[in-house]
Amino acid sequence: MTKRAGDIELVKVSKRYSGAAAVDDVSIAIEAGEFVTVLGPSGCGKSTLLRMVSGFVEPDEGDVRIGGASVTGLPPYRRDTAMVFQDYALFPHRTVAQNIAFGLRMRRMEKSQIARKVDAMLELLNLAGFGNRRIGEISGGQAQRVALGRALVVEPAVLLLDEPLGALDLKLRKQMQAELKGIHRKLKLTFIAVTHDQEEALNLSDRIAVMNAGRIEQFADPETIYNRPASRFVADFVGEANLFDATVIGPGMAQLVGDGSTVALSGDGLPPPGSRLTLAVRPEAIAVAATGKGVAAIIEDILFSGSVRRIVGRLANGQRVTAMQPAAAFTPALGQSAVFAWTAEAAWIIRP
Amino acid sequence: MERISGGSPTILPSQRRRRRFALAGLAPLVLWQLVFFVVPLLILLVISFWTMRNYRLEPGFSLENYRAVFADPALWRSLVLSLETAFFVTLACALLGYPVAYFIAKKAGRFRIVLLIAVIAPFWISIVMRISAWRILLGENGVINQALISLGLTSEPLGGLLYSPVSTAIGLVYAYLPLYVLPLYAAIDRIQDSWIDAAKDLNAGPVRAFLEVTLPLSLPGLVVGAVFCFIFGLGEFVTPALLGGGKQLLIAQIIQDEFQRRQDWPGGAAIAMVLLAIVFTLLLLSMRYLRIASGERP
Ligand SMILES: Nc1ncnc2c1ncn2[C@@H]1O[C@H](COP(=O)(O)OP(=O)(O)O)[C@@H](O)[C@H]1O
Ligand SMILES: [Mg+2]
Repeated sequence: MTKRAGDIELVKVSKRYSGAAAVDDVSIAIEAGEFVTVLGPSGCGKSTLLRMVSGFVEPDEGDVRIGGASVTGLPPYRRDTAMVFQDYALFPHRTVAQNIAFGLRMRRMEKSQIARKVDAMLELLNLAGFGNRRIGEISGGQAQRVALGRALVVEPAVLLLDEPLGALDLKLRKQMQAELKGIHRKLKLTFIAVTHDQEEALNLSDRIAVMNAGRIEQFADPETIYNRPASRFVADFVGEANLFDATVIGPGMAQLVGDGSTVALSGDGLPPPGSRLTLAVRPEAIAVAATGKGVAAIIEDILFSGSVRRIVGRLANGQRVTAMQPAAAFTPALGQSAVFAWTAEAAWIIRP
Repeated sequence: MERISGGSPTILPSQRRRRRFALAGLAPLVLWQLVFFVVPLLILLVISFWTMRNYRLEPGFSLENYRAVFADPALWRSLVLSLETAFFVTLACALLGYPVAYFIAKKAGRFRIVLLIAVIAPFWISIVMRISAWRILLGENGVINQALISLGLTSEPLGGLLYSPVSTAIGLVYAYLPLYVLPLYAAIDRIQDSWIDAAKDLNAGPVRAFLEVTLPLSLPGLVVGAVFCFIFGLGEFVTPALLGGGKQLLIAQIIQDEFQRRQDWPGGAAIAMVLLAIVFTLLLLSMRYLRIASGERP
C-alpha cells in the first residue's frame, strides 16, 4: 500500500526518564486526514508521545514514520509537522500577522505569497483586522486561534495539538471545539490532539487512543470507546461505569461475587461456568424499581440535577451501584430497599 | 467594570494614609539624593560658568569654559579616547558576557545560583586589590610575560601589556563583566523554552531560531548592560589611573587634573558637564527604548 504524506506510524516506541517509562512500547498507525485524540490522565505520557512525532523527544526504542518514511533522529526543523503548544508559545516580540507568517518565512516563501496566505488564515480564523495587534493585546481565545493559524498556515503533513483548549473557559472551549472540527473538515489534514478531557475527545475525534501509564489501552472510534471499553481503565476513565466482579454459573447467566444476585449475559463466546469475569454497566442503562427482577440494594443517596436523577445504592456485598434515570421515573426513598435492573445487552465483559 | 463615581477615581482615606506612609518611607532616600547628588551637581553647574582670576574663583556668567572644552585638541583626544575605550569595553563585555549569561539561564540547571554568585564574587573584593592582581599578571616581569618567555613564544617581555590603553581595557572588561551578565541573565531567563521550540518546529534551524527569537528577546538585557558598561566606562578614574600608566589620559583623569593640579575649578566643571550631558542623553535614549520594548506605545 502506498503511503500518503499525512500517514503517521509509531512502531514499538518507548521513552524512559531516569528509569521510569513515560511512553512504554506504543504502536499506533494513524491515517492521513484523520483526527485522532490521545486521551489520558495527567502524567500518562501524552505530551511525550506527541513530542516524539514533532521531534522534540527522541524515542529510546522504536521508530517514528511520517508518510511512510522514518523520521527517527531528524530534528524538529527537518520534519513536516507543526505543533500548537500547550501554552501557545506565541512570539511576544512579533505581531499576530508576523507570528502567522513565521513558518512561511522560514520556508523561504515569496513575500507577496506570504502576505496572501497570512490574510487568508486571518480570515479563516475570524481574526481579520487583528493582524497588527501585539501578542499582549489579544484575548486568550484569540491567542489560541493565532497559535492554530501559525501552525496551519505551513500546511504540515500533520498538525499536533497539545491540550489545545485546556487554557480556555468552558463556554469558549465548546465554541473552539466546533471551530476546530470545522477547520479539520475544511483542510483535511491529519490532526493529532492530546487531552485529558474525555468529552473533548469524544466530540472532536475520528478515533481516540486512550492512554494509561505510558501505554495505549484502546484505540478505536468514540462510539466503541464509550459503548465497549476494552479495559477496566477505559470504562472508568471515559464516562462512568459500574463494575461488577461475577462468576459464570450457566449459559448466559452469572452471579455477582459476594452478593448472590444473578444477572443475564448476552453475546457468544462466553467463558465456561465457574470462570470469573468483570461486568461493566453504564449508569444510564440501569433502571430502578421498587420490586421485580434485578439486583437488590439499599438506597444511599439521591441527587437531582434537572433532567436526570442519580440514584446510588449499596449491594449486599457492600459495593455501590449508580443509576441515572429520567427525573420523571420512579424515585425510591432514602434507606428504602429497591431493585437495580439492566438488560443483558447493556452489560459487557471487560478484561480483568 | 462600572465605576460608581463618574469623575476621577476617588481615593479612600485609608489609601491616602498608606500613600503618605510610603512617601515618608522614601524620605531618607530622597534627602540623600538631594544632599549628595542634586545639590553638588547644581553647584558644579553654577561654577562651570564662573572664571578664575589670580587663583581665585570669580562668580559670573561666562561661556568661555565651554568654548575651551571644544577648542582644546588635547581635551578632544581624551574625550574620544574615553568614548573609544568605553565602546570597546562595552562590546567586549557583551561578547564575553552573552555566552556566560545564556549558559547560566538556560543550561546550568540547579547550578545557576552557584554560578551567579561566582559571577558577582569579584565585586566583593576591593577594586585596588583586583587591580593589583592584574599588575602581577600583566607586568613586565609578570605571570603572562614569564609564561610567554618560558614557552619560547617571545624572547623579550612584552612591554605594552601594562600601563597602556590595552591594560586599562582589560581591567575594565574584567570589572564590568558582572554588570553586563546580570541584566543579560535576567532577560534570557525570561525567554521561554517553548518560544525557541516553536521556532524550530516551524523549520528554523538552531542559528535561525537564535537570530529570530533568542537574540531579539535578549535585547533589553543587552541594552541595559551596555548602558551600565558604557556610562561607568566613560567616567572611570581608578582603573585607568592604576593600569593606564598616565601617558594617554582619559576624560575623568583630565577632570581630576583640572580640579587638583591646575586648580581650575570652572574649567573642570565645564568638562564634567559635557560628560554628564553625554551620559544623560544615553540614559534617556535607552529608557525610551526600554519603554517601547516593554510594550508601552511611544
Ligand atoms: N523532560 C523530562 N524529564 C523527566 N521526566 C519527564 C520529562 N518529560 C516528561 N517526564 C515524565 O514523563 C511522564 C509523562 O509526562 P508527559 O508526557 O508530560 O505526560 P502528560 O502530557 O500525559 O501529562 C511524567 O511522569 C513526567 O514527569
Ligand atoms: Mg502534557
